[in-house]
Amino acid sequence: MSDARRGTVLIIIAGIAALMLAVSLTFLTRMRGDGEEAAYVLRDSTARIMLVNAMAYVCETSRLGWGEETFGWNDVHDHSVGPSCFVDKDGDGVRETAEPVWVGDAWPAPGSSARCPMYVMQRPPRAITPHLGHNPMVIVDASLPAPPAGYKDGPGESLTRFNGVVVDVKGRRKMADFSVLDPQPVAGNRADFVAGDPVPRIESLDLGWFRVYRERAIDHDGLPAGSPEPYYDTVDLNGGTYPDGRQYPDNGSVFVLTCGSGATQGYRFWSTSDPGYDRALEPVTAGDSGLFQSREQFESMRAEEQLLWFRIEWSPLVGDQSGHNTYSGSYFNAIGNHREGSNIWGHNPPSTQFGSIKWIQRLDREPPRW
Amino acid sequence: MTRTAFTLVELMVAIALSLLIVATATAAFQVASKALTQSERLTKENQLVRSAYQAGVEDADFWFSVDDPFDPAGQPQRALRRDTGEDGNGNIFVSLDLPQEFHNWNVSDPRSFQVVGEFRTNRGGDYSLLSTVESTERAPAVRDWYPTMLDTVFHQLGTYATFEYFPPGTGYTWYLDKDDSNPMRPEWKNAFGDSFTKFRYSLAEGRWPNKMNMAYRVTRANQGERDELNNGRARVLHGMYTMVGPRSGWMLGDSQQHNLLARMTVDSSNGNENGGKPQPDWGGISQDLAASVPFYSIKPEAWPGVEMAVVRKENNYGRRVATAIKLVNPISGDIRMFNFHCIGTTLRGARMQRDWRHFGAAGIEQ
Repeated sequence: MSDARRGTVLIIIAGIAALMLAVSLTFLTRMRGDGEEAAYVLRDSTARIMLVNAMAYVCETSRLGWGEETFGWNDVHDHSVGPSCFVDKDGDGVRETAEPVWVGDAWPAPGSSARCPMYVMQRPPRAITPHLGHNPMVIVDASLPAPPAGYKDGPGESLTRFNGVVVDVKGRRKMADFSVLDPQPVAGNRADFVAGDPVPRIESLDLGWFRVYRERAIDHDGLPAGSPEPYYDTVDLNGGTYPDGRQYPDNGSVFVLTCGSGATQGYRFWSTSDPGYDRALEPVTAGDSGLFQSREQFESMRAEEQLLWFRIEWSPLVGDQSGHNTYSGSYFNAIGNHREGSNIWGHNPPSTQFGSIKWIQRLDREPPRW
Repeated sequence: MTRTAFTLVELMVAIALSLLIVATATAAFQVASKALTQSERLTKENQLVRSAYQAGVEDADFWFSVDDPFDPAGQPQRALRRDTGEDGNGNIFVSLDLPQEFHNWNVSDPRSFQVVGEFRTNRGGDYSLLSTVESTERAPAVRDWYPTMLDTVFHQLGTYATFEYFPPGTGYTWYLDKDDSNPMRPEWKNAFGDSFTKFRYSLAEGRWPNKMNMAYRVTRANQGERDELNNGRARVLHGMYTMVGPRSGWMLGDSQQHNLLARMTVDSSNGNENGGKPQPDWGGISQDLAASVPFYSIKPEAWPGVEMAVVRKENNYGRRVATAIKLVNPISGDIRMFNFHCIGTTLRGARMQRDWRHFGAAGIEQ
């Protein structure tokens, strides 16, 4: 074959190959762009899931998680800023004094933040399985005469002791209530049951986190006229007086939730010298945590994240009388309600003892403290 | 013999081979090109869906489809309606005329609950709002505070706002009209013999009462609830629905009428004496939503496009922000519908947003 022929063939082949390459590159570029945009949607969705988690955290920690039972972010006894638990200050064995659960400016003091990286533990503490088990309730024969009435528990209802066990007179035909969960521990012994296995499951790491900043009164009230920040606060949440003229205590139930998706574990500051750093917001910074190789790596991770800011107000209202009764069916029904999508920030009687979310407000830009 | 040119056979073979090569290359290119085109269409579809998703969650967060803080023409829900005498037909972004102390109600305020019966021993604190109306021996006037707030919000902002303004699990009851034919309801009196002339529920209009109250828990604690219900004098809400759709221009049909229907919330619970159960025209609303050409269009020019609607539904069981995305395939014409629910800004949060300075400082929540 002559050189001219070889050249012609080469040109033809090269041209066709170039065309194919161009098509392929375009295709790959399209797919890459599509994937990146889809990843953004995924991050946004994850951040919104974190909103759900953060609100659940606020509700539950209004009463649990501080070693003793507490009574709300604003205590339901007197509206004082909580959570507070009762302590025995005078040593007489009676816990009569309510004291806040925080020390200094540490969480959950007003003005402080909680950082909550989300992951799945290998086995959470006190993990149980929802196995149904036989409730060891006394068997009551329907043919037996009604037991003598005990104390009244409500209109038309009476409870009494029968064979030493409290039974429902109206429901005496029930031999056992199989609808009530009888949870079984996952761990094989009590020590493991209590401790759990907090090691994160690797596949659940670095996906999402949330932070909860508890607003101080000055954050949402009492701003000097013309104060430029925070822009979102224009409603006096501390107004109002009691009938005797006393001013309401501070509203300690307003929170700024930061919902994030990504690998920064919810750290806000790299070092204590960063602008806006406040120890109450982050006692241990990302740089001090030892989890990140460098500021550049941390900031790169942050740049990849989707962050959403919301404000919420917690309310102690549980809505339904049955919420007071740990042993009523509705306590467990809360699980079913959540599965159905009804929840503690809807208007469903929450059937939990953790209050509810009064309102949610998305912020369209970064607030000064979070 | 020396040849200087191809033979005919050589030429024919060369041409045949060349044609084969060109045909193969052309086919390959066509396949690749078709694949690229299809991937581009899919990419475009995905982009549209993603855009609609983003628009949906943004609307869930900022309520622009209901009230545009930057355009007075887009604020139909700020029109004052309570001066028309249409109880319960208030618009949800009307400036609320309520003393400040009512905004910060709390359950520890003695005005917000009635400690009676079993609740008297509630040593863990009061987590429930228990209240009643008017001054009686059992319901001191001071406890009129909460129902007054409830009543005010209901009158000024309407049904939807009443549901969403109050925390989850808020109980609602009302007293029915007097009924001369019903010996149990000859007068507007409750089981305690208290008059409640202001509290009535108009069955004919399917409308809420002039004044709602929180007597439910009180009557229950006093075994009064059953008396009230058995006598047909009171009603507890069970199946109430209301909704807010996009404003006019964002949907076909009479948006104002839809929202009016939504305000006229009805009791659809089973087993009560409100047998008629007047229902809003959900079918009409749904049709308008489905057929709405781009009330919120984010489609490129000349594309069949995508439509997105956010509808906020509310009842006494839960709040739902339903976002529907309708995508028309640009090639096949196939229609695909997506639907998701999104937790976002509540009505009170949206009202507070409109008080932001850069949102116009409307002052509606003050």
